[in-house]
Amino acid sequence: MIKHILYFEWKNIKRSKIVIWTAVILSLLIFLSIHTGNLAVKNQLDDIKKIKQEEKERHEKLLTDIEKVDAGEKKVNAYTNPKTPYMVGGKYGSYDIFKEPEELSFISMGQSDFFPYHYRISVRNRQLYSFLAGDDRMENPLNQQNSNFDLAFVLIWLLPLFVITFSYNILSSEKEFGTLKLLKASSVSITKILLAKILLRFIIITSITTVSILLLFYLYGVNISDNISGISKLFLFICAYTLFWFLISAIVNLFSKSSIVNAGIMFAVWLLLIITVPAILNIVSNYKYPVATRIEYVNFIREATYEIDNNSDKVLDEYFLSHPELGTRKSKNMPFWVYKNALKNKIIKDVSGNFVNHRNSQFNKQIEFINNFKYLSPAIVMQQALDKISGNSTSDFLKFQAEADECNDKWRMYFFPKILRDELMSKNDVLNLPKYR
Amino acid sequence: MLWLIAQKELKEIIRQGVLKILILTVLVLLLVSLVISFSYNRYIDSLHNKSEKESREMWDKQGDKNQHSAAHYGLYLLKPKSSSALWDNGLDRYTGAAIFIEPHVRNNTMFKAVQDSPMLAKWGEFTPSFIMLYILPLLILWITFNIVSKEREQGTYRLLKSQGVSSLKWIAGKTSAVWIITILLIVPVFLTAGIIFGKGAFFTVESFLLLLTYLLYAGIFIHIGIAVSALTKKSEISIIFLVGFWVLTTWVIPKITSSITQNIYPSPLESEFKKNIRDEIYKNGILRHDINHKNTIAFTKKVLEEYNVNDVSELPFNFNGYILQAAEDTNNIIFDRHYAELHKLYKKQTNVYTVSGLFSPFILARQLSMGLCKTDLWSHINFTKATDEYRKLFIKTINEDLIKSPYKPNQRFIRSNDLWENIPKFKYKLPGLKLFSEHYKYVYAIYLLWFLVSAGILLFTSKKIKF
Repeated sequence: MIKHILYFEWKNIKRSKIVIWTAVILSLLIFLSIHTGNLAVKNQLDDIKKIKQEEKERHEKLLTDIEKVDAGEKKVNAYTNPKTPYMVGGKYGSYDIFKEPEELSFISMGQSDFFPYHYRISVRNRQLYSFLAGDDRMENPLNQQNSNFDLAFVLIWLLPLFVITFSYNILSSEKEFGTLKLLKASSVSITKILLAKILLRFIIITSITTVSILLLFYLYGVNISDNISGISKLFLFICAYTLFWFLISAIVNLFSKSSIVNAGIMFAVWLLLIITVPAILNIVSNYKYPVATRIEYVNFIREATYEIDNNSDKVLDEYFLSHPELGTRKSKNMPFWVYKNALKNKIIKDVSGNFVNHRNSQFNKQIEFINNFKYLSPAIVMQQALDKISGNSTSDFLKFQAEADECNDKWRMYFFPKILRDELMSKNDVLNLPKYR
Repeated sequence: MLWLIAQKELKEIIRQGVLKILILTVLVLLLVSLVISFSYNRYIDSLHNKSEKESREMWDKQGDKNQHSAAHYGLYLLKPKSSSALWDNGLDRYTGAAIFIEPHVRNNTMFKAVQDSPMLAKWGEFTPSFIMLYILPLLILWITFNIVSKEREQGTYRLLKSQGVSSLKWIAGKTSAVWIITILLIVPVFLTAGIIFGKGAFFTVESFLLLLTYLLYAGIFIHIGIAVSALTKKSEISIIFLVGFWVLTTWVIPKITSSITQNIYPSPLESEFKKNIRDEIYKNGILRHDINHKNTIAFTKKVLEEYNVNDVSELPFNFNGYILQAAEDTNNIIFDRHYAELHKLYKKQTNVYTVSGLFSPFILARQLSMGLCKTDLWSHINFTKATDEYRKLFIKTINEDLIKSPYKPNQRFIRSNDLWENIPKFKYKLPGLKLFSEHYKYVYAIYLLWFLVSAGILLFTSKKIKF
């Protein structure tokens, strides 16, 4: 009996053209999103290439300048001497680290809109923590506000709407056509019939989605076998997410109101779970665990470094007295503020620990809070899963930030004694610089 | 007759339990968002005021110092919040609010608020404009989707027909009823919120243009909703079509526009942008600290010749200050040109949004809403330009003081601390209607066109439909 019902259902669906329309629109949206996602990743890769090229030119210039100075071809002063540790660790010898996009990054641009994917390791950095650094691109904020049209958006926001239009009237239409009575008269229970009908629709929607995604992955040259775990996770999540929405549909259908009320209720659920709950969680997490804004941090630092900024000589002298290993204070090779800033940065690092820890802990509490309540909205669960697959999740970027901070600290501390001792560096020193990371 | 139909329709809407709940929900959401927005703005405003004051106090009490060292100590300036930002926080979370003032360089604004809580930032902010532009249209669609088709489904239109009502009057009556509900929902809240939260600055042209913008936006959805309801045979088809329209115009088109914009007019990398400026300064500007640079040598030579002396120490003024200011004057032109080009690029990008506004009234409404609340891109650029004008004045005042100070080779002059306090404070006045009309006159024109076309479609439909 159920076989019969399914067979006629399939014929019905086929004739109503709804399958064709769903397939056409959905695969078109998927195509568009994969295309724009790929363009965004390509732009990122181009940026990285440009920065790397610039880095290479910088390093080459440093070496040739040192050769010229050694040969007496170039006249230099304290501001321009390439052999000072300040120039080697800063303007010319600084190096760049990247969070390179992964092969599946185009699925979800995720947090890459808000976190930089590049950081310069340099003694010149005014911002000693990567969370203070700005973006890589001087992006028009209008673009950031609207974010990207990526596959994650299509799957999370739009796919449920297709499920709704495809299934809001499974039972109610039978009722409205008067065929429900015939079904009720059959030997199979209504619940079973409903589940069978839903299962059929679930198979249709997921097949359209997965087939078009797979086809486009192939066309865009994604190496399927290399990314098999990511891709299978993707499909698993698509199935689970689609199933969730069909379940909502089954429940709504069981209450067997009119088609209109069904459509209204299901859309209201969409509105609640996908738009409202995340927006409210966002506000609550912000109110509950406000992250100290970076403006407050700047004021705090200015307060803490008041002494060295305004009594630099005295503070430097005192530091040399308490650190005899640095020898006597000399400051000839570089401008005065280089010595001052080297010590100032050390002081900032020493005093800002508590502030930064507090900020990080508030930040983590926010994340934890959202993670605890994310099950209220399948959209958040899905977004996080897709971000993870594409390597654009919050934790990916926080990890990169921590790495950047570690490299930067090591690099700065490598040059710190050299600057205070007023050393000059040779070509050989430059070639043997440590590379952190 | 028209009024009778409207009355009947109003009664029907009010008697529907579901609709009553929905209208109340939207009203509550609107009020909650107003309170949240007000307290957020007040918090940001006090934080910014406090920070700017602290930064200035540190500057004032920095003690005896060389003028140029003091200039490098610098100042932080912060963007004030306009009281109309109550309705729309616009791009403020994406632009950053702090800017550091120092010699030699024009800096970008720092510290985007969105980076302090990026996790759910994609879901947008719960501001009054979010309710007005995302949620209110849905309420209107829910009221209108079956307003005509249900009479057809229930057969009640025959009764009306027998009364000799023309289809035009019939639809006009229904339209007026929905308009009355919408106006009753928006206008009182808008006026009350403006008077309570507006801090006296509420009665401006901008406020009323903003109200008009929201009303027109609601109007577009009223007209389209009723027209679709009249044109479709079944209410189900009508609701699917209308929700599709809403999703397409408020979610899909803006995002696609963003992706298109980023690809046809890519924004520069910050490092690249700065490098281009540096390279040009190296070529055509004056590098104060590189005394062996050809431009520095040429400039020094020119000054020496002009005053007919052999060494800079013989000049009647402090040469250090003189060349610092000359470098500012020359290099600022280069900075200004590069920033002007960047802003031109932003304008081109924004124009793409205006064009896609032809397909999505939401894009236009949001731009106008941000523009009127002074939280848009152009208000932000207006602020950065003001800070840069201030920077130029700030550095010039300091350099001129240095020029008057005695010059000793290889020794820094130390200035007593009374100068710092005497430098004028930064005062920023929010841009007026002129900036808005400069950037949004075409946007508003297209927006009005949307409204007129939607009204035209409704009129055409109501004449054409068969009873």
